[in-house]
Amino acid sequence: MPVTKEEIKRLGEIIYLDLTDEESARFADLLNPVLKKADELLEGLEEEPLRHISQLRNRMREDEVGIPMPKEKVLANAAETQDGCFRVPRILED
Amino acid sequence: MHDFEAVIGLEIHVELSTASKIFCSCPTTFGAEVNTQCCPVCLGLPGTLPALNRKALEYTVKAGLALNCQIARHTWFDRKNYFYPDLPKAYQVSQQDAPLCVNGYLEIPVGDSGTKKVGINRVHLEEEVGKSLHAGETIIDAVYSLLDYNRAGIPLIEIVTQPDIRSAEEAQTFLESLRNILRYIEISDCKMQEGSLRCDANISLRPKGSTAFGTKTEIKNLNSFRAVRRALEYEIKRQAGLLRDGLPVEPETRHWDEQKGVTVAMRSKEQTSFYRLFADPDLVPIDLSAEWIQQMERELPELPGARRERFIDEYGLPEYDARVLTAAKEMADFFEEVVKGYNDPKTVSNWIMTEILRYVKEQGEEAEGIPLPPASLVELLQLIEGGIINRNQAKEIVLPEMVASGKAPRQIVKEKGLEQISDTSQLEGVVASVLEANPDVVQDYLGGKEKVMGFLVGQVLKETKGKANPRLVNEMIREKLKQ
Amino acid sequence: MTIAGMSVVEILEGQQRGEFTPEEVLRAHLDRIEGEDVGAFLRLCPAASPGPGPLQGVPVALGDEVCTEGVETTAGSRILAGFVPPYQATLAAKLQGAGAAVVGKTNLTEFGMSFDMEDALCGRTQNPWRSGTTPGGAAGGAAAAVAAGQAAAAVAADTGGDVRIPASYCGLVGFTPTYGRISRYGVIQHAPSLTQVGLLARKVRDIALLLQVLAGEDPQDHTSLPGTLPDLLAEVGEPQPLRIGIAPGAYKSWAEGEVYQTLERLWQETAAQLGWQLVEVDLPWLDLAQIARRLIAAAESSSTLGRYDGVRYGYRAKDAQDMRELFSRTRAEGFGQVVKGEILLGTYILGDKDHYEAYYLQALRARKLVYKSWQGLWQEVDLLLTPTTPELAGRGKTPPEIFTGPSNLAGLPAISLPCGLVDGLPVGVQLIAPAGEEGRLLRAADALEKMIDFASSRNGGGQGA
Ligand SMILES: [Mg+2]
Ligand SMILES: [Zn+2]
Repeated sequence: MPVTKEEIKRLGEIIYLDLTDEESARFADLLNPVLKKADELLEGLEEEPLRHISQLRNRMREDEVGIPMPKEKVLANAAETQDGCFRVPRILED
Repeated sequence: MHDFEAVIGLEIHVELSTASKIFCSCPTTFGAEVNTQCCPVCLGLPGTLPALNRKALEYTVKAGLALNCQIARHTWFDRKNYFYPDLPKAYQVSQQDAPLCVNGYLEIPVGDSGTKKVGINRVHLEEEVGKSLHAGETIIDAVYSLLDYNRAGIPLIEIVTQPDIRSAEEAQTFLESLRNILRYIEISDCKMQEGSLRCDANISLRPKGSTAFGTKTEIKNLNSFRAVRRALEYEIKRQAGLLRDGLPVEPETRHWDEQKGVTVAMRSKEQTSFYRLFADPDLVPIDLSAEWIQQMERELPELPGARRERFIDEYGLPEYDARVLTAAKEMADFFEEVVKGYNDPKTVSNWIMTEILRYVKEQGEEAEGIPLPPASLVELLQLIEGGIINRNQAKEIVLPEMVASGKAPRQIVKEKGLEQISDTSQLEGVVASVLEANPDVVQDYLGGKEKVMGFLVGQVLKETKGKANPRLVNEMIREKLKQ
Repeated sequence: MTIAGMSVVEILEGQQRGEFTPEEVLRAHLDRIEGEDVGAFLRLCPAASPGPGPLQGVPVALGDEVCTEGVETTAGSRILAGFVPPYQATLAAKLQGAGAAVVGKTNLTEFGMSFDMEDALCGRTQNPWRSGTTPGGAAGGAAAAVAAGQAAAAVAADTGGDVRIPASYCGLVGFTPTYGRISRYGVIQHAPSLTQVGLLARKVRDIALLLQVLAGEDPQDHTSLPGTLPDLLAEVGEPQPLRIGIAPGAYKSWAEGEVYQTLERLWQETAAQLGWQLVEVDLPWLDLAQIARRLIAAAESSSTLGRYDGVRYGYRAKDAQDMRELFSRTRAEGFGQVVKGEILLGTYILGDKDHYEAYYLQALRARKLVYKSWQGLWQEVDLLLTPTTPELAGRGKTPPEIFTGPSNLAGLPAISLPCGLVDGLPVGVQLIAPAGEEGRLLRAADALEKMIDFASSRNGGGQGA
């Protein structure tokens, strides 16, 4: 079943991406051939899913404390700060 | 009308007490100045990668072992994707498909002497998020919010129970037992008031005797043991009311309002189930060998249950005493230290369970420990035994002062002039005058009424303002009246 | 011979012979940057300076996805406009530690999420071989810079051919080592399970030299491979009898005729002289690999690019009234169309249980199948030889990553060499080796390179094999 532009719009909401109707329609047109091809090629495969490409195992660091960044550097790239914090407009959802 | 039974499952998040964060070397100290414990990794800056802290993983395994879980032999981390300003990477590294620990249980006390096993569905390792501070009364009327990422990346374990809990009280007991065991194995300080132990509760009701599950709600913002109990009590009543009226229980997330004492439906984060989970490619899988798991098992201290049994065997304590004393690691440690200096376990146990515990409880439900060093209690008990002070003085005057000022008992006794008079020459006169003043009583005694001895000793104590050694006075009177 | 346009080895040898100084080398390349505008660089590093070390004075360009401390790094996206990393990518630190001069940051498609350089948001990059023609992507700027003599080498991320495709279009050597060989720390990525840090240079020996500096375990990248590489430079050049896999059937069906003929001529003319035994193999899974790689990249991108929300760094939408608006508008205004399309695709295939199972999980199964197919192939051959791209630069009909993507899917080392010209535009040949066999790969590539004798300079009139 092809993806609809309404569905694309809903996906946009999930990943916090405002989409115009025109964009939603265009992205639906973009996704559909890809999904169609995937439907054709991927169906019925029964291999174990390959979740990790790295063949390494058990990489860990010891629990040692290092020196954190100075606060000015932490905040240096922020668009807006206040009282040593990153400032954002009000959060309506919890 | 139906009688309802509550079906409760808990989801508990516990911050691990590692020195550094889970994926970077930033410190984890509580209460540091905002945004001073951050680096490119825990801020989720572009191109940075996680480096797993071995201790965080081992602590999780230890929690699993202490909770009787099976430990996974192969595990990995998943990304749980959602958006919130306190989540720097817009995903939380967590575990979905291969949790480190599964299928355990925790045995909790129920009633006076019973126990019950609450199933542990899973224990997994994940990362903590930052903190948002809202400028305004509530999150809703805030004009803006401020973000502090000091907490982001502190290792966190999530413990999910089976829906085995049947009452608000049981839920509280479970949490207390869990906190106790995690503190026993020293993987977390479990301070609810600092947020290092947090609890969400799922609750539904069903007619007693039914095995089906009703519609559940999830309660959030339970910041204390009391809140857990009160919120669940409230929610049980609320749901029962709805069901009795034939109204549906909405499957929703509810927020506990501590002030009003009610749960309220929350504006829900949209599509919370839509987490797009998949294995994090930046972290390699972990294979746990049997040797490694055994090593962690060996590193575990004696757990509360085993210690309770040992207290019964080794110190000859009654089951009840052993259970109370091992309910908190600090208390059990304290008991054993005191017994080393004053080898009368039952006396020590009585003192701790009656007197010391009273002071511990005064500190509130999340008491940090015993308010005096073990050596002080040893000294106090020795003073009593040596007849320097009597038991009442010890309880009513010396102990409160020890707790309040931290002074040694001997010093308090001296400052307050409490030493008992244990010198017969100092008591001869008083004893004689008391006998003289109470000839009737003396006659009763001589006539075989042993009971009146108490009165005579009491009179001597009264005359000496309580300083006379009662045992000595008793002996002196007995001697005198024999003649 | 002018300094700008020399290989890394030529620069090092020239300095050693006292023919020119590291400062003169840097100057010559900076002059070329000023003199010929191919749109390769997004910005220059003002503090570029040569130091002592094995790469003393070698001017290197970095793709703008490589974080450079104190120098704006955007990965070619508006959403990172103004972002100045407070940290250095491990590879950038290693280059500087080896004495290389990092001259600047090169253009790429946004977050490297398209192989079509026309999709780049930050200006046009030209193919130095022919103005108006694409240099290929995603690392189009890096390739253009080296091809135009503005840097002797470049480093950029490769998630499916991003380094090898532009190498092929621009007549350069493009190399991706085994997954994890070069640290990814500080490299802005979109699909981490596919990202291999790649190298661009004029000669295979240059690649060996750079690789030796950049390879090695990094405590900040837990997927980085432990151990050091042997002295690849010393080993390069010992020709060996090898079984070389070719799949003429697959190549004919995917590649345009002239590209196929160039390749066919190459293996026919060189194999015997190199002591290579050609083994015909079948690659029936190329299109399966292509779609699986695309889906996995999209899925990982939808997660990896979530962090660009306007809170801590980068672009932020103006005057948002609440957080939802801030996030939604920042991302709508900050991301380009290609990125939006890919992260929507990724969100779709991870998004609900049915889609996850039908697409994402199936793509992981396909990945396993491809992985196993490679392992089977290595029983029969020592290396696989393929066209690098199915078409010449600018044709744009077939997925350009059809031959390069499968090695990323399995994390294998691969190299593209220029092997001739068609219509005056370079054609590339790719060799792919089993994981961990960079030595075998580079030795073979060095031997092949000598046979081809491709004049990597556009002005040298190179004719190829
Ligand atoms: Mg959790
Ligand atoms: Zn950090």
